[in-house]
Amino acid sequence: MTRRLLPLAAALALATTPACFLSRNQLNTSLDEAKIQALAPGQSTADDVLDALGAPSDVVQLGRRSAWRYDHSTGKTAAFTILIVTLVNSDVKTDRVWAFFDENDVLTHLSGTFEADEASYKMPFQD
Amino acid sequence: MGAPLRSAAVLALVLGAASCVQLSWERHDLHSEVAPEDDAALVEGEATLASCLERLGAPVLAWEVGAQRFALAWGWDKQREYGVSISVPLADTSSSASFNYDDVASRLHGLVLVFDEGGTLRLKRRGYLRDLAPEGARRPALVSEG
Repeated sequence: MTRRLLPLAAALALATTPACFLSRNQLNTSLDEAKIQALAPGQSTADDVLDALGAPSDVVQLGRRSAWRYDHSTGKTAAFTILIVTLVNSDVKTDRVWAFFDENDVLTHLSGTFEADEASYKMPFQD
Repeated sequence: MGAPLRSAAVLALVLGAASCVQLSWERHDLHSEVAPEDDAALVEGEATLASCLERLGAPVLAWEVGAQRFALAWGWDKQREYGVSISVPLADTSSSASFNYDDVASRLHGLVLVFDEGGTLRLKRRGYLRDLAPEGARRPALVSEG
């Protein structure tokens, strides 16, 4: 009986050998918070923002205002497969900065969200 | 090992090895959700562009609303997918028939704030961003899933 079960046990062990992978994706270079904090609404101009942060990812006209978006994102994906079950989790977090200008290209508002470092590898059942 | 258990193990092995049956559990998170208390603290007619940016951080999208107004959107996406896939190879052909059942719990939520020309909050909507933002303002996910 034991001899008959050995091949089956070996086959099961091979078939159920788990596989996993981790992948990390990034978009754009990270944003320099020191350069961002050096910009002063009411004083800095579009040229100052361009010098500090480079070309924006997006430019939007908002009536007489305009807004520039800068972003950097990190995505982390973890997957685990065993036999017929596959678990996949992806977490994408972004650093975003929006610079708002008036009709004279003077910076009026500057807003940043920095979360890219918070992207994490985990399984779907983990919080 | 009892006979029923052994039979079940063999069947699972055969089906799994042939990739006939696949069970999947996937979760995809994009951005962070706006806290309901932050949303509630922003009152139409009182909140300003500055106070909204300070409380919510940088938006995901911005677009013009007519000639006098503009909108900002904060969006997040939390998808939970549970799937069962069954595939049956057909003899003497290079193709296969398949049946797929997916319970896709798609959650693409967003908060859209509309401001007047002076930067005062005039309108606030929470819901699916695909319904709240115009086609041209929406952009694809920043990172493709690996």
